[in-house]
Amino acid sequence: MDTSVALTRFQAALEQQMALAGGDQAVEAAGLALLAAAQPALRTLAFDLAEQAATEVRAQLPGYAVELVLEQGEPALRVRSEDPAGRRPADEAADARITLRLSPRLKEIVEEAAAEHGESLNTWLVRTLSAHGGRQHQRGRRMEGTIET
Amino acid sequence: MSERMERFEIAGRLRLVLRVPAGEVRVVAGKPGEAVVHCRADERHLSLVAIDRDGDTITVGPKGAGFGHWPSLDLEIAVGAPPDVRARFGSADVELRTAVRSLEAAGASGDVVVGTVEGSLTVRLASGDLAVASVGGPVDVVTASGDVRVRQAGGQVEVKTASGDIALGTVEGDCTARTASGRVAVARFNGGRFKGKTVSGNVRLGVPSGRRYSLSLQTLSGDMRTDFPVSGESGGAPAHIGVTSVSGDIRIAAAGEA
Repeated sequence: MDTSVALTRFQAALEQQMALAGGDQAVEAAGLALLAAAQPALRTLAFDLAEQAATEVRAQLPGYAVELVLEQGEPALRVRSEDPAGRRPADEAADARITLRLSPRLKEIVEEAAAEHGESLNTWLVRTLSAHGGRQHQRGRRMEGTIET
Repeated sequence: MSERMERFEIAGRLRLVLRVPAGEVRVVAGKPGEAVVHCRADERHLSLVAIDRDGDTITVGPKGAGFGHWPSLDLEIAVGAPPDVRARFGSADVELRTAVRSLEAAGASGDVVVGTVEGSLTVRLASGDLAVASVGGPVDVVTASGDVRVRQAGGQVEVKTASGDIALGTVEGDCTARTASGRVAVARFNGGRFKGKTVSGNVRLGVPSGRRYSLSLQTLSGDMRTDFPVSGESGGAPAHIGVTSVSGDIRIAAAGEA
């Protein structure tokens, strides 16, 4: 969340009213002084609203923990899955099986790649899928790594 | 509608301080060594406009207090060299048709259209749009509902909006773009560090070829795509891209496609 955007909207509305009131520099200075004095209370208000938002999101997201944290001085909602299935594939036991149909040429390529790495076909495929599988196009969660363009 | 004109000889670096409750403001190219202020309004209010000079600073705005509702004021200033401009307005359209050294603008409503800014650009708007062709220095913009478009940014860029869209062309420096429901689109990011943050808006970032970036993308329900294979752990790369959204989609694409 970025409270400065909401505060900017509030400041702009205040400035508009002052401008429409006649362009008196003394009035404008008093208004800006009032705004500056009210900043801490406005930020507290923003934090209270963020806390309410966290509570509402938490109630509508079963299986997720929703926390309100401070990030660089701004409130931020942290949502994390409480489902242990969210762990990395490589952390799980390798006891699932899959039958894969592929062209003879692609099979040769995959076998050659595994051989080049001195690995069994199964080991190479598991490692490659763990590193890259689904990471270029994901819905939800997090994508981290390095790209070369 | 009456008109008033004041001509000033300017030897140094011109600074314009403009205060316009409502109306239009234009800064246009003029003759070298002078600044000419044209002001149009109804006769009664025109006499209440102060056009003052202090050194190389020209100040234009309402005199004192007690105007009540201020009618439309049309202000055009012809300058012989790029000035520093500071503009404050309630409801006005601002157009800079000639290059300026720097711009600092704050207003409640009305659009701001800018050609070339040689130095820094600082803008605060409530509901107006901002369109800028080129900025040589840092960009610092906050709008509530207005859209922000900057075609070319040579320095660091920081843009925040509540619901306005952020559209950036080529960005040479580090860039931070934050919006609640607006969209973020950067055609070509040549800087070292990009940080994007939205709630429901989509983010599309174009990156040039031949670069290496550490990537950190996070969304709760949006879609994430890169046009490039993602490998290894983040960190170690000279440049960084970090984008978070709640429901907005995130796409990292080859420059020119974003």
